[in-house]
Amino acid sequence: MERGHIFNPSYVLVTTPSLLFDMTVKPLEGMAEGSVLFVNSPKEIPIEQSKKIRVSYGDLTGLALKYLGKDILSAAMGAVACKLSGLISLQSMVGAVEEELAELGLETDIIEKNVQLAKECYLSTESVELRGLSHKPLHKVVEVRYLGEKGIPDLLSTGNTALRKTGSWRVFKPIVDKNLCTACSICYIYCPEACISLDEQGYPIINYDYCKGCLVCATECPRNAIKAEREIVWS
Amino acid sequence: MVLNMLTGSQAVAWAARLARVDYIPAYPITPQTEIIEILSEWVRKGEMDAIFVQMESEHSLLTAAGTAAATGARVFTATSSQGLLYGFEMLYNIAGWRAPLVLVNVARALAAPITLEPDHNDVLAARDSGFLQFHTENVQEALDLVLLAYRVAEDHRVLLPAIVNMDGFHLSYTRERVDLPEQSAVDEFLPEYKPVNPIRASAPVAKGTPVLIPPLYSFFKYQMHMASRNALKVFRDAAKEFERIFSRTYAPVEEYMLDDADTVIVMSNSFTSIGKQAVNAMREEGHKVGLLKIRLFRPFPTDDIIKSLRGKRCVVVIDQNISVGKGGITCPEIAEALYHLEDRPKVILPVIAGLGGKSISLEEIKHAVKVADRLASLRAGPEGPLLLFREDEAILVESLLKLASGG
Repeated sequence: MERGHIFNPSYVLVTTPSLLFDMTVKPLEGMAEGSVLFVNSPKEIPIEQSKKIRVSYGDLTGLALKYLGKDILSAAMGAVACKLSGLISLQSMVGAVEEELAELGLETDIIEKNVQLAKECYLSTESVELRGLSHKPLHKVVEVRYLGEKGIPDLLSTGNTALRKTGSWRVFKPIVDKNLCTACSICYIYCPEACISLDEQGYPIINYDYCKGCLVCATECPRNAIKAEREIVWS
Repeated sequence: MVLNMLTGSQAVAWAARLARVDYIPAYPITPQTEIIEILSEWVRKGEMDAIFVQMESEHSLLTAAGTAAATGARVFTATSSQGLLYGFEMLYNIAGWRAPLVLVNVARALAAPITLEPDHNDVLAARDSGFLQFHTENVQEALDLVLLAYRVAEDHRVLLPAIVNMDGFHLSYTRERVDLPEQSAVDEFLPEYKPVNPIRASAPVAKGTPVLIPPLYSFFKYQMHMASRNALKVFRDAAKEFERIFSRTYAPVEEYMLDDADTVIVMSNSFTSIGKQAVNAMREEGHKVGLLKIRLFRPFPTDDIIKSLRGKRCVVVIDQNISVGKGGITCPEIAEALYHLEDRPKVILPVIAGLGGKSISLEEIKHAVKVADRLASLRAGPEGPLLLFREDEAILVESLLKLASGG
């Protein structure tokens, strides 16, 4: 039985494309030549290692919105993984989705919508056989030295959470229509992430680095001046 | 035989259900929460005839668990890490009352620094409490050992509570193929709990009374020790019965490719599967390496360990825990078991690996085996524990330290 960390994955599926470029997540780490990457994205994304690995794309978020009206991707990603590897039949996959979601106590119609979503994802994905995987890199064991006071878990650079751009996993981007906006400040007050500020005239400015796309602002706006646009491009 | 894909959490919840437990005091903590969520749902729906009570802390939880067991109820509970330590005082009390119950500990490393991933400093902190300790490698084993733990704990030659340890994430949230036993088969294996001197309103009993006369304390404590040692035989007998009914074999230790091995890796819990993979890889390269898994940690299976390790050239003890200022917790116990043998191993190498859930690669295990082999050739002993830590991890740590220091 295999267990533990997968150092050299044959298949990697990335749900949120911005994670491809995240320095701490590093989803492509350890991918050998000939391994397979699937990215949930409606369009291709330039990836440095794309010459060595085989990359495919699918707009699972679009499909989830179509079937569920929400960006809930677990059944969709699971279905793609089953098909991509070619190891699991459609019937087994559907059975697993039904069983797992029933365990969560979901309503029958929601389970059925998830099954429809999973089926479409499964049928629209091509299986990719593994071929000529290159050798695994060897790990070297090193000695850990005593670092004195540097070895105490103190954080001196406090406030460094700002370094993480929490807007990177946004699915919908709120956009303010200045023609409709009355500068009432309601969105500014309601934003749970405090990433809406006001300009000199009192109009809202959204900081997209940290806006998670929760759309509380759009819900609360009394003039419907905030529209939600599907986020497609990540940097 | 019914095969299911179950998480570790589901499997031990099923074990409690199949054991027909009467009482489940609970308090949530990651990564244990899924177990009590499942049980509360079953009780709510009436699928399980038990009383489920959400307590206000693990200290209350353990107090309720122990006192309920003292009335003769069959009790199941589960906690993890900080929760186990928060209720720690009561572990010694429950064992001292000689109140059998089963507690699943979902292993998670201890703060500080805080994390959610597993090592075994939490469960091994309870090493000396008097609880029996069963350590599990996979989901099936977790389910089966809960059933075995009840049978051993409730045996009148033992009458001690038991901890079944299951690694957080690696088992608790991982689905594996599980043979879910039939209720009738479990009923055959696990008869009704027959308590000794149960507390009854009609017949009061004082449990855990003060013993301010020192010889009395010494006497009762050593009685507990002897009861725990009895559990070795009781476990063996119970395992035979278990095998007859369920066709799965459990011994206090498990040998893997040991017969012709000259180097033996000693491990426990879920990362043992990685150790077995490393043994396979080294065997393919022509090295005679085997593995010994410690399944029953309390009582300590000294005789099994002697039988498996005597005459071997090197023993590599991989501890996924650290007694700060000493090293691994199990290694000295293994060394003590082997000390008086003429044919004791030339080298017993203490290794620390997987703290806070740190991954272990096959190369790291191979490295430890090489170090042991070199020491044996040089007829030298280890200077201290060997920490398994990789270059890629050192680079990551360095960059994060730089970030934390603002440099």
